[in-house]
Amino acid sequence: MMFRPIVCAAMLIPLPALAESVTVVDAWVPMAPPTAMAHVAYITLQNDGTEPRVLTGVNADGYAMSHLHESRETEGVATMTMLHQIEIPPGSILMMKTGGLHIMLMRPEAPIAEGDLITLSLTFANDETVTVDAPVKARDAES
Amino acid sequence: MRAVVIAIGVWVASSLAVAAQVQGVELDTPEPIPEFSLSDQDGQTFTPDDLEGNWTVIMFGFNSCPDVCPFTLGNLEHAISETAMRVRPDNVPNVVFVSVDPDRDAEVVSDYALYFHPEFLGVTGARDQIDTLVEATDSFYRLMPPDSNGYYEVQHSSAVSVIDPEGNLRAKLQPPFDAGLTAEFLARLQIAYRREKS
Repeated sequence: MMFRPIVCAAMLIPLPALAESVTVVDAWVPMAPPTAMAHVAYITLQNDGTEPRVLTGVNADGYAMSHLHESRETEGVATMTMLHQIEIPPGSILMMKTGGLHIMLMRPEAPIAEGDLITLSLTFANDETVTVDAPVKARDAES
Repeated sequence: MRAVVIAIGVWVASSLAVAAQVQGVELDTPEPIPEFSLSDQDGQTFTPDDLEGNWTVIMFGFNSCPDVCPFTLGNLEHAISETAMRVRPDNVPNVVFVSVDPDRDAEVVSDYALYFHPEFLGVTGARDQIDTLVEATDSFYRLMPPDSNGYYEVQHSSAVSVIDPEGNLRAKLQPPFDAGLTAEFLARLQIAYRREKS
């Protein structure tokens, strides 16, 4: 019984999602028009290990499909490309952001609202899965 | 790119140093927009008649574009709000989002645009009508082949087109549409237009 308050206090400290050496240091979903048929999630992953880690897929609760995507602008034309994997070299940080790497969340089951949490399951090449709750925020609150 | 647009000069001329950061170009010779007819999700038409008498900014995109299009529309909203502080109310440009993906967007295209500003217009229409406006504004889009789920990507111009109150393409702006610099560009474009007409 002496331990119990200490354990409870520890549980209140938010812990980053861990997959061995890969940490999700940020994740968010910007608000989108209520009729939008696709949403986007941006995550930041940190690889503190000594081996490369490879993100191979993502699954999002409440969406029919989710893809790893990259936006590019080439000679004035905006393009999006689906990626099958994204490598995070050892000792590096992968930061997804507007106009670059992102997670495309397709066919939402319902509109989103600020404060909602979208559960993302990230799959890595070693079959490990990391789950993170990405809060929905105003786009101007880009973190 | 058509020759007429290649011939335009980057809008830096003798203006302020900050203007050099605006990726805007003004056409040497304004190009008239030909006849076309698009409509919003309620069937209200958008034609060259709607270009007469006011400035218009046209952006091409598609609703299933969650990364770049919302970023662009959000920045345009900021830029137009900034412009509204520098020009007469009747010279604040109308912003028109044209979806090049009518099959997926026709029923929701207006709601999509309205989300970013209560006066933004969202339209789409028949392929040949979209193509007419795309060509007239020296823009581009391409629907990519669908995957096994039927999902397809859309590539499109990132620039927006600025149409003058006589329905002529007068300038193109490239993202990221910094609010202050874009407002400055649009205000100066309008001054140049009024001088030309006086």
